[in-house]
Amino acid sequence: VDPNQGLADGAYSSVRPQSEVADPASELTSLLDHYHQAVFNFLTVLLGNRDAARDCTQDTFLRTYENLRKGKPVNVYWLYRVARNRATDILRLNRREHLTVERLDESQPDSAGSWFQSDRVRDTLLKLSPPDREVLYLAEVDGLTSLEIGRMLGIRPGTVRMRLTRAHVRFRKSYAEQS
Amino acid sequence: MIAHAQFRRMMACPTELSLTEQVRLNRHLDSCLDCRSAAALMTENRSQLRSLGRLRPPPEHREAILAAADRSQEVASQLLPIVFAFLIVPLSLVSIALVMNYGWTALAGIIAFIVLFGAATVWHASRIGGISELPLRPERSSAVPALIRTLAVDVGGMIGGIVVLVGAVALVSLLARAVR
Repeated sequence: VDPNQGLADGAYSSVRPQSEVADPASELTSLLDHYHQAVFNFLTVLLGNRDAARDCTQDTFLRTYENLRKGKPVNVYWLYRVARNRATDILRLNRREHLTVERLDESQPDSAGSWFQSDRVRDTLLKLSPPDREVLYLAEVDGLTSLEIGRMLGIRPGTVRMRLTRAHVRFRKSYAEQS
Repeated sequence: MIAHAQFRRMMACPTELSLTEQVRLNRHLDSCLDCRSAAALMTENRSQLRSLGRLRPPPEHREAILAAADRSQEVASQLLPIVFAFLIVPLSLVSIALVMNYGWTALAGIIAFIVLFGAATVWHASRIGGISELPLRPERSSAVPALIRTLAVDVGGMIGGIVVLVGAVALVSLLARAVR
């Protein structure tokens, strides 16, 4: 499975009939094959912290497994929504306890190799507010449409486009400030 | 006349535009310098964001998730008998006491209560932690940790159960007295 393939192109882009859903364990394995890296990256961008993203990814997939065990099918939008809600909980908790979200530690070796080559883009992205960050990431990195993002976030596609426009302006401004 | 803001929203999702919208946008861009520079800015952002490398999760992470999933199943299957084992003792004592005092009517009442309470628990358990409607209903996000929420629901359910139990016992005893 190509982890960089478009999220909406995968087998889980729509709710599959119950008859097509395999047993929960194999379904979880298949979901991990398709979306483990994508969810982990999304959460890393959203939380700005790899350890927190790792825990949050695990939490998301465990919740998915729980859902599958109850015989409820899941799709990629559901998965992302759960991931995003978990991340929102963590961010809210951190804010309440006056903790700052740890930035990605550049001394950590990066197995993908290229993430840290785009330091400036990454830093700019992390400086945006989480709502700007998530909408920009989902649209421009994961390549989702405004309808799909709207489904994930529970908002209308028009609102997504509006947020995206603002996020683009803020991203550019922040990027220019860094130079 | 479409405002500039609306053209910019169109530029944010260029692949989603219809042919008519695309033509209208291009015509506007030909005549509006501000929107043209905004479009260039978005294109530049887009190419920079798409060049972001992907982090690979740690190799052991996948196995850790699968192991945790296995454990969660084991814990659930181990917990249920323990809960029942603890429940069965007080319930049996209460049943014996009621049957000795009020006869078989009380036993019928207890059985009916257990069946109803069990059905309510099963229904409640099937709803907790899951989203039955996909994918349009947004999941509510809460600052209260999931464990505390679950505990609160369980404690609330327990208090409700005790209230219902006391009520059921009182009702059965009243009925038994009336029959006598």
